Amino acid sequence: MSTPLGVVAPTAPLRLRTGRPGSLRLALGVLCLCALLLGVVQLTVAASLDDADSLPAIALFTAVFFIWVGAGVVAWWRRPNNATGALIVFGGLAVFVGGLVNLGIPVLDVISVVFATSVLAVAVHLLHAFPSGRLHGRLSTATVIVGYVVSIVLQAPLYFVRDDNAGLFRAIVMGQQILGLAVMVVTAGILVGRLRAADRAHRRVLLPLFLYGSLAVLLIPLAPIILPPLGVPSPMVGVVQLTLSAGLPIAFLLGVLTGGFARTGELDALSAWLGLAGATRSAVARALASTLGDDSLRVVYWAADRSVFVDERGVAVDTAQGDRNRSWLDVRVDSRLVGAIVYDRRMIADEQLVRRAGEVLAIAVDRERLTAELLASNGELLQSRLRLVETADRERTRIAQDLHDGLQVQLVLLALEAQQIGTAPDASPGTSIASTELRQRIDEAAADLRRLVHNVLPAALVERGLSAAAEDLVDRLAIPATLDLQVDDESLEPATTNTAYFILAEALTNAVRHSGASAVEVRLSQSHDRLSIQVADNGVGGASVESGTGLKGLIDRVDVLGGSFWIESPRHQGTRVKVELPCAS
Amino acid sequence: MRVVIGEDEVLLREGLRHVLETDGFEVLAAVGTAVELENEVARHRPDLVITDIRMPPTHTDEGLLAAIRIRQNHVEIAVVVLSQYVQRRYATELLDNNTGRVGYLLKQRIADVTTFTADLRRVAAGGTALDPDVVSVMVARASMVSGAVGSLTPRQREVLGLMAEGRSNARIASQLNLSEKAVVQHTSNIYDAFGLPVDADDHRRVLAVIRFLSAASATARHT
Repeated sequence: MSTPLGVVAPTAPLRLRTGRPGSLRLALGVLCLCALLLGVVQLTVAASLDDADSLPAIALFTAVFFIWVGAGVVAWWRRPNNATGALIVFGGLAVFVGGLVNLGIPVLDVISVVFATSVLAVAVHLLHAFPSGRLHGRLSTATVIVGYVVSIVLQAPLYFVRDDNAGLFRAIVMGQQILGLAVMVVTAGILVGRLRAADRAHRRVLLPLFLYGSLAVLLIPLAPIILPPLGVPSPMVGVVQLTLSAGLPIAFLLGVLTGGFARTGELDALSAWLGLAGATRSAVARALASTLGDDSLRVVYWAADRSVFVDERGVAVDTAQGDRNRSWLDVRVDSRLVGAIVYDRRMIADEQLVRRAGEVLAIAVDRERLTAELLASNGELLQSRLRLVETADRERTRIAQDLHDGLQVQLVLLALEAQQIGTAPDASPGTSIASTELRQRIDEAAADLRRLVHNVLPAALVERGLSAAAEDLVDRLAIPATLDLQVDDESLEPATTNTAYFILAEALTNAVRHSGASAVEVRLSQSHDRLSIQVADNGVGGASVESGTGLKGLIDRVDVLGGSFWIESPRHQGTRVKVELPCAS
Repeated sequence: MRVVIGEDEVLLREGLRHVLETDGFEVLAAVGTAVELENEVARHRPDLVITDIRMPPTHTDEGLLAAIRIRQNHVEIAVVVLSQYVQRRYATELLDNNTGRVGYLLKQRIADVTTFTADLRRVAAGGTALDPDVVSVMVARASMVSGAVGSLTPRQREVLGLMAEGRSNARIASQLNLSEKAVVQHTSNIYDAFGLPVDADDHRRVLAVIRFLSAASATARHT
C-alpha cells in the first residue's frame, strides 16, 4: 500500500478543440446540390432547344455559375463567421440569372435582362465589404446601394424600351454608364483610402484584389465597346466578359483565405475550453483572436486598484483610441468592469460576435478572480495551520522547560533534604532508614518525571538537534537498530526538526510494539531542499495509517509543512515508513 | 579539595554548595553561566569543576561544551557534568580524550550525598563516574551487537556495568555481596572476553572498558 499525500500531479494543458456545427455542413451541401441541379436543368433545357449557337454560351454561363457558387461555398465553409462566402454565392446566382436570357424563354428573358449586370453590383459589394463580408461606413453602404440601383433598377426599363424608343434607350444606358462610372470612382477612392490605412501584410493581399476587382467591374461592361474595334469577334467578347467574371469569386476566395485571417473556431468550443482548462491570460487572448479571426485582437484587463487597463503581464495599456479601425468593447461581470477586447473593425464586422466573446471572457476573468481568492484563502488556511503547529511546539517547549527548571529541580532538592534528615548527627537509626527510603521514592518520582519530560520534548532535541535526538532514540531501543545520519541540524527549522523527530519516535515505537520486528533500519538524509526520514523494520507488516498507530496525527503535521508521507506494509514483509519534509538547504 | 560550580538554578546551586562544603570541599566560586564558569576556572585553577549542561543564554549544551574545553585546556582539572537527562553521545564526547578525570551524572544523584561525594573524589583522583542510566544504555546496546558482550553471564554483566560506572573492585564487591576475589575473577573474564590487556592501573582499566562499550554500542553512522 502506498499513500502519497500532498502530491499533486501536474495536469496537461487542454487544447482548444474547434468544431463546426453540423448544420452549416448540411446547409452548404444542400446549396451545392441546388446549384448543381440548376446548372444541370439549364444545360438539359439548352440541349433540348436544339440551338447550336446558344449551347456553348449556356455551357459557359453554367461553368462560371459553378465557379462562383463553388468559391462561395468554400469561403463560407472555411470562414463561417465571415459573410464573404454568402456574398460570393449570391454573385453566383446573379451570374445564373444573367445567363438565362440565352434559353430564349420569354418570362425568363425579363428577369435575365433585369439582372444581367447585377453581378457587377455584387462585385462592387464584395470590394466594399472585404474582408469581413459586411459593409461599414455610410459612404460604402451608399455606394453599394447605388451600384445595385444602377445594375438592377436602371436595367429593368431597358427590357421594355429596347425596341421602340432608341433615344430613351440610349439615355437610360448613358445614365447607367455615368452612374456606374461614378460608383466605380467613389469605390476606387474608398479602396485607395483603405489600402493606405492597411498595414504591409494586409496590403499585399488587398492591392491585387482591389485592382483586379475594380478593373473587372470596369472592363466587363466596357468589353463590347472596346473589343470589337480591336478586331475581336463578337462571341469572344462574351467569353472575355465571363472569364473576367469567373476570376472575381476566385480572387475573393483567395483574399479571404490568405488575407491574414486565422482559422476561426466557434465561441461555444472556446467557452468550453476556457471552462475546462486553466487558461492563462495570454492563452485567452490567443484563443479569442483565433476564434474571431482577428490576429490583431488584444485582451486588456481592468486594474481597479490603479484604474487603468493593463495587459496580461500587468503593464498599463495606452487607451488612446487614435486608430479609427480599432474598436474597444468593455467586458463586465455584473456591471463591474473587468477588461476590454480591442479588435480590428475591418476584420470583425459583427460587433455581436465580439460581445458574445466578451461574455465568454467575463466568465474566464471571473473564474480567475475566484481562483485567486480561493488560493489566497487556502494560503491563509495553510498559514494558520502552520501557526497552530508552531504554537503547539512552543507550548511543548515551554512545558518541558518549566518541568526542567521547576519540578525536576524541586525533586532534587526534596531528595537532598530527605537524605540530609537521615544523615543528621542527631538522627535515630529508624529516621535514617526512613529518610533514605523517602529519598529513593523521590528519586523514582524524578525518574518518572524524566521520562515524561523526555516524551514531551527530549533534551537532546533542545540541546543538540535532530541527529542527537535520533541517536538517543535508537540507543534506547529494545531491538538492534542501525542509524544512518546525513543531516545538517543547524539548517532545519524547529517545526521541521520536531516533526521529523516525532515521526521517527512514532515509527520506532510501532516497530517495537506492533510489528514484532527484530531489527530496524533508520535513515535520515538531507538533499537539496528535502529532509527524508526512512524507517524500515522486518516485522509482521500489515500496518496502516488508519490502524490507530498514532501516525495519523503526525501526517497532519507533515501535510502542514508541505511534506509527503508514504507507508508500505505488506503482510509478513515488514513495514517501511518514509516521510519527506521540505527544508531550506 | 577546591571546586568551582556552574549551575543556573539558584536553589540547586546553593544546595550543591552546601552539600560540598558540609563534606569538606572548598567551593571557590558558584556561577550561573558557562562563560562565567570558564572565567572562574581560568582564575582559580580548581581541582574539580561541577557543571550543568543547560545554561543561559541559549539553554542548550553550553555547559557540556565548556566542560569539554576545560578538560582539553587543563588536563589536571577534573570535570563532573550534571544533567536532568543523560545520553550516550555526551558520555562519549566527554570521554573522548581518554584521560579520565571525567564524571557524567544525573542531577538526581546529588541527593545520595555519600555516593555523590565519593564519585566526585574518585573523579578528582583521576577516575571516572558514569551515571548508571547511561551505562545501562551502553551495555544493553553493546550486548545486542557485540558477541563479546552478548556472551557474558548476567553476573558478569552486572560487574561490567558497575565497572563502567567507575566503581572500584571493593565497591563492586560490597554492592553485589561478593568477595573482592570473586570480583577480580569476573573482571579478568570480562577483559579476556573483550580482548583487553590486563592493566594494573584501576582507572586505565575502567577507561578501556568504557571505550570498548562505547564503540560496541554506537548505533549511528554519519555519512
